[in-house]
Amino acid sequence: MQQTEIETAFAELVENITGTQPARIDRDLHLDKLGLDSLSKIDLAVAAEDRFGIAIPDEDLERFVVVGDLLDYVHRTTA
Amino acid sequence: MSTRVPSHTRGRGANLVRSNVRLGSNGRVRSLFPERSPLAQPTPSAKDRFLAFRPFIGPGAIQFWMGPDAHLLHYAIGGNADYVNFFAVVEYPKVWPHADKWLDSIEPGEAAAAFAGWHPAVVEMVAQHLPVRWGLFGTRPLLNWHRGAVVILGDAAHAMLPHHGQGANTTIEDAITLAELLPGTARDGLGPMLAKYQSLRRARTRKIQRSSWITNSLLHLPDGPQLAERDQRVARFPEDFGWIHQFDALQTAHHATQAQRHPAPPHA
Repeated sequence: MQQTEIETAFAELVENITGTQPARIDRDLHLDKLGLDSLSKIDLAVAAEDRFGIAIPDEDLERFVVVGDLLDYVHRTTA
Repeated sequence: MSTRVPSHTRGRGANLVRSNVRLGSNGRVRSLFPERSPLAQPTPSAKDRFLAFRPFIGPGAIQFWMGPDAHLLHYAIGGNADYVNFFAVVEYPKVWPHADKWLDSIEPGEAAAAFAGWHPAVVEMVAQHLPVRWGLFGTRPLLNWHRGAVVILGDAAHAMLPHHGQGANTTIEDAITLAELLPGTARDGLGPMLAKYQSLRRARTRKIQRSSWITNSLLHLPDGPQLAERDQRVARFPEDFGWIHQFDALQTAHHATQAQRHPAPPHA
């Protein structure tokens, strides 16, 4: 999957879950700035799993700090 | 094998419908999903659980005792609240030594030794010989809960630590969701229906699974400066865990079915 494809689809997921406009989402944005804590990050992880057909284990999810961490993970695991 | 599933009919009691869906709710069903569930391995961690009944010895409130690597919870049970049910949880063995059983014997005095130096009420509760320990296990979140006409629920889908008391409750929520979605589903509509069931249930149960582990850590903090924050968080349990206890599975599933049957018109 192309990086731009992932970023576009991911921004839609974030918008659906947090209401954040895609234009405000960039790689360096901290997940907690999106209002996502350790539990609400799971909503995003489950949506990403369904959208991209991958698994995001809790222990990996806990390590993600910024949006780019998740994007890179999706890119790696869908490659 | 067909399965009778109760169909909830609002305000008119329940009736039964015949379905061709097969339900699985215990851990063995996981073997049906080996290749599509790469994370479906038992978590290699276990905790001891001592369970016993004792004459009622204190007030009827639910009470937690927390300390380094252990906690004890007790609450009154019985028609007249004349018994107290308690269980004590400790952090060992980290890896459960038995592949084929989840109960194990313990040495006399082992439980008492684990809580030596705790409050006298705790010491008294665990002083009696507790003959058995229960291993506590969770499963890693599963990606897929259905295949063909087979669907899993409860522990088969989302086994969790018991610290939120939600193992049975989430199973009932799963069942209610299925019962709400299933009636009227044609055979060729089973796949989408089961996918809808999964989408309604997966994030919520995974969050409770995760929260149970987080709560386990909170209950077992070592002595130190973190305890002040822990106490504040424990005081907020009713508010912080409202999302668990105030959830209405039936209404959620009902709204989902209504949205599916009567989708909103597209914007002009």
